[in-house]
Amino acid sequence: MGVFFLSEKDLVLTTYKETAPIILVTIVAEIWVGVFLIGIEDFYELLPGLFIIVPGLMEARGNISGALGQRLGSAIHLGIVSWEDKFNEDVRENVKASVSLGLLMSFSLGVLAFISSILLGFKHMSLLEFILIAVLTSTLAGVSQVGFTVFIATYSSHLGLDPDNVTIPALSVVGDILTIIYLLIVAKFTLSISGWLP
Amino acid sequence: MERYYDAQAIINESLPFLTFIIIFSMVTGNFLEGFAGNIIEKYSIILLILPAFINMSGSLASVFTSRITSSLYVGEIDDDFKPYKVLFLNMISMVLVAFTGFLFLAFIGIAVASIFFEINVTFSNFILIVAFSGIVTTILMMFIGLFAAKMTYSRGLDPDNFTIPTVTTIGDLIGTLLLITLIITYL
Repeated sequence: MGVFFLSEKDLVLTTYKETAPIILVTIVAEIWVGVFLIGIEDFYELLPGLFIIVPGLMEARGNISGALGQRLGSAIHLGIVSWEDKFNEDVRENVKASVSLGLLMSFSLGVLAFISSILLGFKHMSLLEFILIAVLTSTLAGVSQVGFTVFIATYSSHLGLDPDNVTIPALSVVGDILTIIYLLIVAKFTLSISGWLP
Repeated sequence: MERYYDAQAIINESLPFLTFIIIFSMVTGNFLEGFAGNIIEKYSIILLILPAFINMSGSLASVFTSRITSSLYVGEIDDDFKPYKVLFLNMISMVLVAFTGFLFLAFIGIAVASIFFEINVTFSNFILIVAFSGIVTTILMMFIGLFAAKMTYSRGLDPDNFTIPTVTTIGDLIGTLLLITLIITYL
C-alpha cells in the first residue's frame, strides 16, 4: 500500500500534503454554498418548513456517505477492495446498505421535520410534501454520491494516495453541492405539482 | 471468496444510531439558532464562514478517525490505540492542516465578505479567533472520535459506522458554541 508504516516525518508530511490541498478547495466551495443558501431564501417562503429539512438532509447525507467512505478506506487498506476490484461483492453490499440507509433516513427526516414544525408552531407544508422533498432529494443526491465515493476512494488509492486522507473532504464538498442542486430541482417539482397533492 | 461486508448487518448497526443523531442534531440546531441568531445578524461574516468552519473541523476529525480505524484494522495500533506515537503523529498532521485551513478560511472570509457587505470586525482579532476556535474544535473532535472508536470497537461493532456521525454532530455544537462565544467576548 505504501501508506502505512511510513517513517515519522513521512507520515506527517504525506498526510499534510494529501489532505491540505483538498481541504483548501472545500473551504472555497463551502463559502459559495453559504452565499448560495442565503440567496435561495425565497424558496423558504414558498415551501414553508423547508429550512428545517435542509441542514438535516445535508447532515444525514454526509453521515451515510462519510461512513461509506470510511468503510471503503478500511477495506482498501485491508486489500478487500481496490481500483481493479471496485465492483466486487463487498462494494455492492456497502453500496446497498448506504442507499437503503439514505432512503430510510430521509423518510424519517420528512416525518420528523413535519412533527417538529407542528410542535414549534411554524408555518409548514403538508406531511406528503415534506416526505416527497426529503426522499426525492436524498435518493438523487445519495445515488450520485455513493457512486462518487466508490470512485474517489478506489481511484485515490490507485494513484498512490491514502483514500482516508482525501475521500471524506472531497465527498463533503461534492455532497453539499449535489444536495443543493437536487433540492432546488425537487423543490421546484414539488411546487409545480403541489396543487394536485392531497 | 469470503465476503466481509453484509448490507443488512450495516443497516442494522447504523440505523438506530443515525436516527438518534438526526433527532439530536435537530434539537441542537434549534438551540444553536436561538443562541447564535442575534450574533449572526450582527456579524454577517459569521454566516458566510460558519458552514465552511463546521465542515472543515468535521472533515479533519473524520480524516483522523478514518486513518485510525484503518490503522486498527491493519494492526498498526492495538485496541488500546498503542503505540500512542502513531496517534500523536496523526494528530500533529491534522493540527497542521487545521492551522493552514482555518487561517485560509479567515482570510478568504474577509475577502469575500468585503465584496458583499461592509465588514465591522477587527481583522487581526477575527483571524485569531477563527484559527484558535477551529484548531481547538478539531483537537476536541479527534479525542471524541477516538472515544467513539474505542466504545464501538471494544463492543465488536464497526467503528467506521459510528465515528463520523459522532464527530460531525458534536463538532457542529462545540464549534459553533466556541466560535460564537469567542466572538461575543473578544470581537
